[in-house]
Amino acid sequence: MNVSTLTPAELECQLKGSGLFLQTGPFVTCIKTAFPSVAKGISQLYADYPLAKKNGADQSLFADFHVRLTSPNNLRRWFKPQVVFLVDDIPIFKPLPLAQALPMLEWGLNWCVSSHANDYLIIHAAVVEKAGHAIILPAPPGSGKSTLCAALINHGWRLLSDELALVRVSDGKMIPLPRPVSLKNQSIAVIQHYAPAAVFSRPVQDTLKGTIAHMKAPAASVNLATKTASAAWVIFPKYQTHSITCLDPLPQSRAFMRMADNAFNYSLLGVRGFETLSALIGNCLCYDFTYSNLDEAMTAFAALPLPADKMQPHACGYEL
Amino acid sequence: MTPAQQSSQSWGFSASFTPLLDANSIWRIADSLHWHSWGDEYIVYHPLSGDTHLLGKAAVHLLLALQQTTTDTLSLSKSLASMMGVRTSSEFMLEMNKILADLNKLALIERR
Repeated sequence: MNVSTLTPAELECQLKGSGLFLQTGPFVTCIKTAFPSVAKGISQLYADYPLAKKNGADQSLFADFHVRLTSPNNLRRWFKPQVVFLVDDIPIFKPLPLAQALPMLEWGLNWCVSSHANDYLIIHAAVVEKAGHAIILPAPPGSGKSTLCAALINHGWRLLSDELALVRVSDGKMIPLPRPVSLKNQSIAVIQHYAPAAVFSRPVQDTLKGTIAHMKAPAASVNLATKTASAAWVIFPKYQTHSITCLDPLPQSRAFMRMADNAFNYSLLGVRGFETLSALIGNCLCYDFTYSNLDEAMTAFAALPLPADKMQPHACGYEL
Repeated sequence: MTPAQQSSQSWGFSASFTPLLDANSIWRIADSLHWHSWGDEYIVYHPLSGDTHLLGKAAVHLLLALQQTTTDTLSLSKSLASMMGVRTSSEFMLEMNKILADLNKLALIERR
């Protein structure tokens, strides 16, 4: 059973009542809200996502995260309505204008995972996969990461994640967390033009990041959300107007440091974080990638060499 | 400007910020360092500080030498100069002092 099997009335009823138990990748989130705009956004962006199955004899539902979007309890609700995001009934962020409720849900879900899921090394990166080989695209905001990710998943690559790369500490596998792709400002029109069939949420203006719209994840990626992948490439993308498409090899040691800088919980994991990232980098070819043309970027990615003959980390043992 | 400062500037650092280390100082490596190397660069993780460092070949040569045995600055300088194929000139000693001071500051090595 997935979200699309619920009628709009049933969806709103669950969201207003006991909550919608939504499965995204390895996580179940119980979402509660009375805002119709959020219900509509979930119906549109999460139509293909499974609902959590009931467990045990008492047929109870388990959720990793319990979140709620509601109005803050102040007078502004009568003048300039706001929305607040609660986790376990505790507000996590400052209230935002009500029009930003759906982006706030997305940011809040990212916060839940990046703050709690410490079975994984979590890197701020997009991840796409083809033929079992995953590309990790770590980058700061404004680098064109999500634009590139959106183009790739409309060009035959599977979406594992747009924001949070999950590297399972126990075996180094990339764990899918396919969720809507967050696009900002000019990128929205660029991808609407590049992939006319893609489904977008209504753009929300004047957020802290400018105008935001979310692109629905491809159904095929959502349906393969339990299929892990192995990282083969780490590519740091950078969009530069009028630049030529350029894929520059990057020393693995430098890629390691930049990946660690982009990780949410590298320090928290301690030596397990170090060993997980070392193993991952050791199995990947690493590049800096500059682009301005998406078609050329697709061609460059299609021609990526497989890391079959890459240099392995020098096995000197754990202790120096 | 002193002759030492003049010569050190050719190495790209200022001698005025480089503590001069006693040639007889005895050094030991920190416990339980974890590391990986790809090519000439090394990533070293120090579990006690939780810090990760990107080190070049010279710094790692000194760590490897100290992994073999606790030793003094003079012996380390001879070992490093031999690896690099250079003489232990005053300029070389200034540069090595800086590396040792940096490693000490990062708690990767310590005076015994």
